Amino acid sequence: MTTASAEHAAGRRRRSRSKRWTLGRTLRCVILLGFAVYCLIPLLWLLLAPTKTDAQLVGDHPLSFGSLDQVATAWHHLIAYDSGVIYQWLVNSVLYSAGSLVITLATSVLAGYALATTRVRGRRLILVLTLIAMIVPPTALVLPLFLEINAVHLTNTAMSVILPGAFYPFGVYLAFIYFSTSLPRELMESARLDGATEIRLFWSIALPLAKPLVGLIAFFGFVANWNNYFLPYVMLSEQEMFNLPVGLGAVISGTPALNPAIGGSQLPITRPEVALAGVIVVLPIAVIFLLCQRYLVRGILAGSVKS
Amino acid sequence: MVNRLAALAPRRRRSDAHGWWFLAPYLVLLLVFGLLPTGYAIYDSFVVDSAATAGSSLGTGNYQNVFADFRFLPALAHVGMFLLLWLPPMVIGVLFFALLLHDRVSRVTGAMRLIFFLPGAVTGSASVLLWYCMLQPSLSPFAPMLKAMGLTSDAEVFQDGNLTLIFAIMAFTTGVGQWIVIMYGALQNISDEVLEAAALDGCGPVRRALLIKLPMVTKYVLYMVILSFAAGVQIFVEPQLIYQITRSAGSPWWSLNQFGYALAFQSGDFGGAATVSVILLAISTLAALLLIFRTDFFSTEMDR
Amino acid sequence: MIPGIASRRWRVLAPAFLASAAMVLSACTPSGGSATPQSDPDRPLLVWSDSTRQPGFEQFKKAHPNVKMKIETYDTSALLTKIQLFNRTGKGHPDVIFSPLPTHAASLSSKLFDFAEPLDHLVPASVQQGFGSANDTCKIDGKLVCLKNDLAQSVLWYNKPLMDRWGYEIPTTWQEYADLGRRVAKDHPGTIIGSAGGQFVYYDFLYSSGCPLQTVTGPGAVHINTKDPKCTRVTKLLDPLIKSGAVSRHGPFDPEMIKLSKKGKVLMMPGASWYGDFLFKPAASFATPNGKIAAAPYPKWQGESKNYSGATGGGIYVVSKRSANKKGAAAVAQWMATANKYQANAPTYPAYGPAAKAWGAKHASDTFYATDPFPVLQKQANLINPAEKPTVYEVDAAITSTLVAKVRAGGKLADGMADLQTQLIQLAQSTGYTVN
Repeated sequence: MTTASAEHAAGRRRRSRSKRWTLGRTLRCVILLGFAVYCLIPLLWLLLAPTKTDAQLVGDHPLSFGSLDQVATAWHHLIAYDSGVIYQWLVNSVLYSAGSLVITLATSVLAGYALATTRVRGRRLILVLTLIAMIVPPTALVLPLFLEINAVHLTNTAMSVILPGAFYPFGVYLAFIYFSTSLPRELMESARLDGATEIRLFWSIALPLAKPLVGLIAFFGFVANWNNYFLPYVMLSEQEMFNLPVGLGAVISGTPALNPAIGGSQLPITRPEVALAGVIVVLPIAVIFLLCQRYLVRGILAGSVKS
Repeated sequence: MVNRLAALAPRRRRSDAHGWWFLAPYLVLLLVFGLLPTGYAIYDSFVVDSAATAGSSLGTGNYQNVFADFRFLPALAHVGMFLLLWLPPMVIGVLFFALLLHDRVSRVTGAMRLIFFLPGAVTGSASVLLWYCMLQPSLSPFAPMLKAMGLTSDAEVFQDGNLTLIFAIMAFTTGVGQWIVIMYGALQNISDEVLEAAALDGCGPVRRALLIKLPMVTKYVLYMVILSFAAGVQIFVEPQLIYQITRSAGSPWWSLNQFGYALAFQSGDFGGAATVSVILLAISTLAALLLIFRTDFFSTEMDR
Repeated sequence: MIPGIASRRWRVLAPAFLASAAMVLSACTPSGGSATPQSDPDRPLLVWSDSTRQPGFEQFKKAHPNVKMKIETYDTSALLTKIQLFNRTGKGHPDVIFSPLPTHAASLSSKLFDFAEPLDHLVPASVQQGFGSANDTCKIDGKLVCLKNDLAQSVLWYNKPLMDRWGYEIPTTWQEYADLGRRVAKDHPGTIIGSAGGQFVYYDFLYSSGCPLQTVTGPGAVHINTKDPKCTRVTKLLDPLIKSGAVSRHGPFDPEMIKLSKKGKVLMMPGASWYGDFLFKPAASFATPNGKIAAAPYPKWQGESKNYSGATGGGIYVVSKRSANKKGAAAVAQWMATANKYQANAPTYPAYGPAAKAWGAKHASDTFYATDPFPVLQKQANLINPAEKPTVYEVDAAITSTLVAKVRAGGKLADGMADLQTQLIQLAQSTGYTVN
C-alpha cells in the first residue's frame, strides 16, 4: 500500500488527476462504498416502508416498493388520528425549535464574541461552567427545571419548552472558538484607534464574518431542539401542545403498531404509518443538513488545533 | 487574572466593560437553566424524606438507598459495558473513515460525508424504531447477514445478552457520521505545506495519516471522547423503547437514567431520582474537568 | 420530595439558596390530603382517554349535550409520570381517566399518587351489583376505587377443523393438556399448543394457577412465594412442553408466531378473551381464515374445584379526588362502563354483565369463529382467580427479565423463579409494601 502510493507527486495530493488504479486506492473505494451502503440501506428501507401494507412489510422483500397509493392511505390514517392533531404537532415543533434557535443564536454569538475578545473578570470560570453544562446530561435536570417553570406558572406553555431549549452552551463554546481564531485582530485594533465603539466593531467586523458560525450553531441547535423529547414530555400536559416526537411517541405507545400486545385497539396505525411518521420527523433534519453542509465542513474547532 | 487586569491600560479596561453587556443574556440563561436546576438536584439528593415521621432531614440516606437497590449495580454495569463496547470502535471508526476520506479529495468524498452523516439525522425514538426493524430477521434488509450469524428470529436477536452490543451498534451508526464530518473539518485545517513536505520526504499516505495528521487532531479526538462519553452515560430512550416494544428484552431499569426515572415516577421517590441524576452529573463533570485541565482548552490569542 | 413538607424544607433552604431558587420551592404547593371540594355539576370535566375508548366518550358527549367536557387522548404509558407531575404543581389533574392497566387501580389509590376517589357512594349499589365479580380488582383496601371497563379472562383458543382432523380431544385438565402436547410433539412436530415467550406466561398460566406474586393480604401487605406448589406446578407442566417444542419459546405477537400461524401450525393457545379479535383475526397478525377458531373452557388443575382464568389486562375508569365535579365525573365513568350504547359495540369483552350480554348478541353472528365463543367467555368471566390483586409495583418487567428471558434464550422457566422472587420482593418493598 505504501509503496504504491508513494508514486504520486507531492503537488497532486489534493487532486485525483492521476488515473492509475492501485491496490490501495481500490481497497479505499471498496471500504468507503461498503460503509456508504451500510448507512443507506436502513434509510432506504424507511423510505420504502410507508409504500407497503403491514402484511407486505413482513411478507415481501424488505427493499421492495409497494405503491404510492399506500403512502396516501398511511398519511390519511395519520391525519385521522384525533382529527388531524399531527398538523398541530408539526406547527408546534417548528415554533419551539425556531423560537429556541433565535434566542440561542443571539445569546451565544454575543457571549462567544465577548469571551474571545475581552478580558472580563471570571472569563475562565464562565468557560469552565459552559463546558460542564455542555456535558451535563440534560435529562438529569428536567425535574428541577419542571419545578422552576412551574414556579413561574409557565408549565404547558410554549415558553416552557422554548426557554430551557434556548440554553445551548455548545453554541457559546463554538462561538468562542470561532471568534478567538478567525477575527482579523489588526483590523479590529485600527478600528479601535479610529474611535469606533465596541458595538460598532461587533456589528461591522465580527458579525459579517460570523456567517459560517451562525450556520453551525443553527444546525446543531435546531437538530437538538427538533428531536427534543424528554423536556416537552415533562413540561407539556395537553395533547395540543405536544411537539412531533412527543406526539408520535403517544401515537406509537397508544396503538398496537409496534406493541400488538396492547390488545383491543382498532386504530389503523400500523408499522407503515409509524415509518411514515419517522420520515416526517427526519426529513427537515436532512434538508437543513444539506443547507448547512458548507459550514460543517470547515472544521468546528477551526484554529484550536493550529499551533 | 485580576493582577493582569490591573496592569492594563485604562482605555483597554473601559473597552472590556462592554463584555459584560454582551455576556449578560447568556449568563441569565446559564444561571436559570444550568446552575439553578443543578444546585437544586444536588440539594434534593441530600434531603431524606421519611414516610414514618412525614418529615425530612439532610443526610446521605438517598445515596445509601440507591446504592443498595437491586437495580443500581446492574444498571451501572450495563452502562459501563455499553461505553466499553461503543467508544473504542467509535473513535477508531471515526479516525479511520475521516483519514480515508481525506487521503484524496474529490467530489465523491463530499457525497460520502453526506451519506455517512445521514443515519445521524434519524435520532431519538425514530432511530430506535428504525434499528429495531433493521434487527428483526422477519423485516430487515440485513436478514441474510443476520441469518448467516445464526439469528433467525427476533427472540434470538433481542436477548438480554445481546442488548449492550445492539445499543452500541445503534449508537455507532447514528453517531459516527457527525464526528466524521467534524474530524474531516479538522483535517482540512492542517496546512498543505506540512503535508506536501512530508510527501516529498517519501512519506506514503498511511504514514502521513498516522504520523502527521493524527497527532494534529488529538485535541478533537479527546473532545469527541468526552462528549460521547457524557452522551453515552445517559443512555435512556433506546432501552426504554426496546423494552416497551419487545416486552422481553431489557427492563424499565436497564440503564442508570431509566432507573432514576423509574424511581421518580413509579415509586414517587424524587429524592432517589435526584440522587441518580447527581451520580450521572458527577461522572460527566469529572470527564469534563479532565478535558479542561489536561489540555490547554481555553487558550486564545488573548492569553498568549 | 413528599408533598406537604414544602414549608419545612423551605426553612432549611432559604439561607442556602438564591432568591430565585426560593421562588421555585415556595411554589411547591402541598398536594396531599386536600379538602374535598364540593361537587359542582356545572364545572367542566377533563377526560383522559386512550385512543380506543375515545369514540365512546364522544358518544357520551353527543348523548348528554348539557354536560361540559373536554376529551383528550393521552399516552397511557406516561400516566403515572403525569399524575406525579400534577401532584407537584397541584393542578392539571383530569377528572376521569381511562387506563388500560389494572395495576393502576392500586397505584392511583396509593399514598404515592393519591389520586383515585372511592366510588362506593358515587355509583348506585344496583349498578355495582351488575358487575358481579368483575370489579373485584377495583376494590383496594375495601374501597371501590375504579370501575372495570372490560375483562381479559383467559380461555382455551383452538383451531377446530385441525383438532377434528387429527382426532384430538379438547383438554379439560392441565394434565390432559400436557398429554396433548406430548402427542402433538410426536405426531406433528412444529405444531404448537401455547406460548411461553412473553409476559403473558404470567397471566395465562401463573395467575390462573394462583401462584402468589401479587397476593395482597391486607393494606400495604403482600405475599410473594415462587416456591409455592401453585407456582411449581406451572413450571413442571410447561418446561417439558417447551423443551419438546409443543409450547413455543416466542411470544404470541412475535413475527415468528405469525409465520407459524400462517403455516397452520398453531393448534391451540391458552390466552386472553381478546386474542380472538386481536391476535387471530387481524390481517397484520395471524390473519386466520373464517370458521377455524373456537374457544373452550379453561383447563382445571388437579384437585381443584374451579377452572380459574388469569386476567391479561382489562381497563379501568378512575375518578379524581381533586375533581370539582365528582358526581359528574362518576356519571361519565358509569355510563362508559355500563351503557349498552357504547359497550355492545366495544372492541373487548364488557365487564358489566348486562352489557356483556348485548355484546355477545352482537358477536353471535360473527362468521370468523367456528362456534360462537361467547358462552365460554361468559362462564370464564366469573372465574378470574381472586388470589392475585393489583399492586403498586408492576410484575411485567420482573417476569420478562427473569422467566421470559430464560425461555427465550433456550432455558427453563424454573431457572428464573429464584431471581423473580428476589426482584418482586425488592420492588414491593421499594413501593412501601411489607412482604410476608
